[in-house]
Amino acid sequence: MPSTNTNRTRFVHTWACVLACATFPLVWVGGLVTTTDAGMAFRDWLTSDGHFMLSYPWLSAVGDKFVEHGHRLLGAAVGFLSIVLVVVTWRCEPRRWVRWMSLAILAGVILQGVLGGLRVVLDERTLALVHGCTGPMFFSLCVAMVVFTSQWWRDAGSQTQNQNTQNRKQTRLLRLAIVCTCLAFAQVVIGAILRHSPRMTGSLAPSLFQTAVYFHLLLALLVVVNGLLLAWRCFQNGMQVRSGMCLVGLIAVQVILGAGTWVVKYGVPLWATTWWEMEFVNTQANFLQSSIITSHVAVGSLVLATALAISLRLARQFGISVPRISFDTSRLAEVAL
Amino acid sequence: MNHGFFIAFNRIRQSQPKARGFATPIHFCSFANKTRLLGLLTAVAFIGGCDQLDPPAFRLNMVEAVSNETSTEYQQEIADVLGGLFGTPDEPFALPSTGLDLGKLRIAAGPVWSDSAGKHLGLYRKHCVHCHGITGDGRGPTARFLNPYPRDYRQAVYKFKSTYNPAKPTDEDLHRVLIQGVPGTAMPSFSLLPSSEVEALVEYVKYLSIRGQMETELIRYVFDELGEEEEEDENGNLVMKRYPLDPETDADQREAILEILAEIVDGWNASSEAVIAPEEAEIPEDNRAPEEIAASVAAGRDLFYGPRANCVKCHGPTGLGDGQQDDQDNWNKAHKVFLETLAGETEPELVAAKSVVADSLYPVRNAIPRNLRKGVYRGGRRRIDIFWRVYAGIAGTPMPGSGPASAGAQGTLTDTEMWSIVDYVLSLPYEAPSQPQQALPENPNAVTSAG
Ligand code: HEC
Ligand code: HEC
Repeated sequence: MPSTNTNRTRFVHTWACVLACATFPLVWVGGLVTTTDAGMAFRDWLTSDGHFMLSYPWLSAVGDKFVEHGHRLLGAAVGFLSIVLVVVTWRCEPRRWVRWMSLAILAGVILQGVLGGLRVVLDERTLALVHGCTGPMFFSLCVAMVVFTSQWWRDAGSQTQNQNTQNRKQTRLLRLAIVCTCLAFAQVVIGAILRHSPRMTGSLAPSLFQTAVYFHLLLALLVVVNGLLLAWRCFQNGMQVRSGMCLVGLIAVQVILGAGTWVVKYGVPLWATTWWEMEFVNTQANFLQSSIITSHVAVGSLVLATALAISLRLARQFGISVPRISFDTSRLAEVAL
Repeated sequence: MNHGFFIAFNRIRQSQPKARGFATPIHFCSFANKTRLLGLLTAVAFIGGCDQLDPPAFRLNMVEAVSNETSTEYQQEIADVLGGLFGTPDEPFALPSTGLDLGKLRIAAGPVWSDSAGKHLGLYRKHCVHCHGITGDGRGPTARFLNPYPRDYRQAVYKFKSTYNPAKPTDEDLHRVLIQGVPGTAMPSFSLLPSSEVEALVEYVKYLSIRGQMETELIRYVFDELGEEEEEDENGNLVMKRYPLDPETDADQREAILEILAEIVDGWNASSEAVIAPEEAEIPEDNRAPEEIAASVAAGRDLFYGPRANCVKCHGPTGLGDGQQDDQDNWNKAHKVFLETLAGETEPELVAAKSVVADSLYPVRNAIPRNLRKGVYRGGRRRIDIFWRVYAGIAGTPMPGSGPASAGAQGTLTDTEMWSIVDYVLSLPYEAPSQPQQALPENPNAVTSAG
């Protein structure tokens, strides 16, 4: 269906951008909640210590209550933005599937909120784990919305003919991007297990932690190799060059943050002490520690979203028709699981 | 006292794991299965622990249990007695005679949350458990990766304290360690916590220590006093009779156990009298002339390399810590000894039992003497800190003390000499090494493998 009114559709795009930009800090603060172990700052949900969301004296709260209530407020704000997105999309967006997608976003934010709430009400770390995995998924969904509603998307659609004869190079490039997305999501899941698993106090804790750490490192290696390869192929083909570079940059930052996370939490790793003897003491929950750890969580989501955006755009450029893409993306998340 | 003990044992039944909102998650899992995507997610979460229904529990000291051939029946009985005396990680308990403040313990124990007044609870699980472990056995999930390993509190041996070598640390010592952390190790500083929270954590560390000591003593008590014996029944046949550990009905056992506990608690209570107080007259002034300091440093250097203090033996001729490196601290040595007895074990049953425990142990690591040229002091950088280290040594490690072993005893060195050594140690980071070289350990094998 050709778009009739570009100004109106552009508004949808702007709003999708606003939503994505509001969701990223939400992911960040969500990470901070875990970093500062503020998840159980209140034992009630929807209300905070009996106050309703907006009547809680947030600005005079301190420490974990400030962080947790901030997360709740920000979550509510994103929920509100999602409602507006649905309204805007249904009024201004001609493509049906995009409209439905805005509803999916609203459903996603509600689900995510309920998950977070149940985590508190039931005091269940497993739910925190799930909440920590679905958060980045929701963020990716918002970014996908930004991609779908962009001018670029529509322009690219009019340029490529819907031919199903993709050459093998293209298929490989797309496959690379999808694999990268899956790997990035798997990293998010393992990271969440490291941070949340309730088994971390059980007798299996040491082996679980060890396995998760080694797996996290192995996957990190794969993400790096995959990301570099993807960026290089993009560069060769002259497609998504800027996004590819962006991805590589983010992965580099993420690797540094990951190493930093270890150092500010556990000090210099044993194998590295040959070159770098530990001469400092970490301070639990100081600004440096919290910000590095939390950034590692947040940049993980950015890597995921960027890889997804690249996959979607490549698919578009190769003229894969829309229903198949949206099918692919949900499949993709499942594969990553 | 006996009355309290009865209460304690009645607690055994109450202290059986009480599910705290753990029934609902299963419900959630099946609910989630309805949605396909979420179902898959839950499957992953399952690995993360959806199936864990038991609240965290203290673990038995298996090295001690297996070494003392404690049967599973006795293991259960010991766990029950400990449960009665000390409660569970979620619901700690301490007899009044231990002097432990139950209010503080409750703040430090249990799951992490905040009450509506903003008081933080579950501090130990929030800040410490991932290194020191729920039992305080130094076997949290991250412990395997750290060097030195996090402290196992159960022997009640602490390195950085103001008391004589074998004495327990004072509350202030533990408080200081928490505030300062242990620089150069993974042990972080908790200086940003309010001091009331640090006090609660100190209390909890003591609680875990006393519990750990009690556990070891109970295992030995069972080994020494109880066990199986051949006995004639009324028909004159020989049958095996087991004497259970059951202080609830056996008054003698009850008394013996309370006596053991009292002894342990006395050890802790005596710590404040065991504080090393340097002789006032010998404490160097803060505003000494440079020549005076130089003379003291020179005297300290002579002692450092001399036969009496013999610091050079371990810390090496350059002070880089490259002397004797093949010894272990108490904790690693205990494991090493355990592995050696396993190697010499012939009885297949014991070999099997010990192998299981041996597999769960972390690699034995050697105690590497400190590189004194770095200027990083784990127990604090004040002169008095170094003085305490030189005076009493570092408990649990090969580092010996040069002062008297207890109040009134004769030491190797005098106070004046030890203060000179302190001056020399503190000047070492600034002294040009005669032989500049990379600090040891260069050879990672020396660190990770048993001697
Ligand atoms: C990142 C890991 C880590 C965390 C978190 C941690 N510790 Fe430690 N802790 C260590 C290590 C490693 C040592 C051993 C230092 C040494 O042997 O030099 C240690 C040693 C100690 C000691 C013994 C000091 C001495 O004088 O021997 C105490 C007491 C202690 N920790 C208490 C705590 C408490 C209480 C908490 C939580 C508030 C905590 N630790 C959190 C790693 C950690
Ligand atoms: C038997 C070997 C041995 C001898 C002898 C020895 N040390 Fe040590 N020293 C050690 C070890 C091992 C450590 C590290 C202990 C630990 O923290 O695990 C250490 C640590 C130290 C530290 C660091 C304390 C801190 O707070 O980090 C100082 C200072 C020190 N020794 C000074 C001396 C002086 C001075 C002498 C002579 C009087 C001496 N040592 C003799 C083995 C020895």
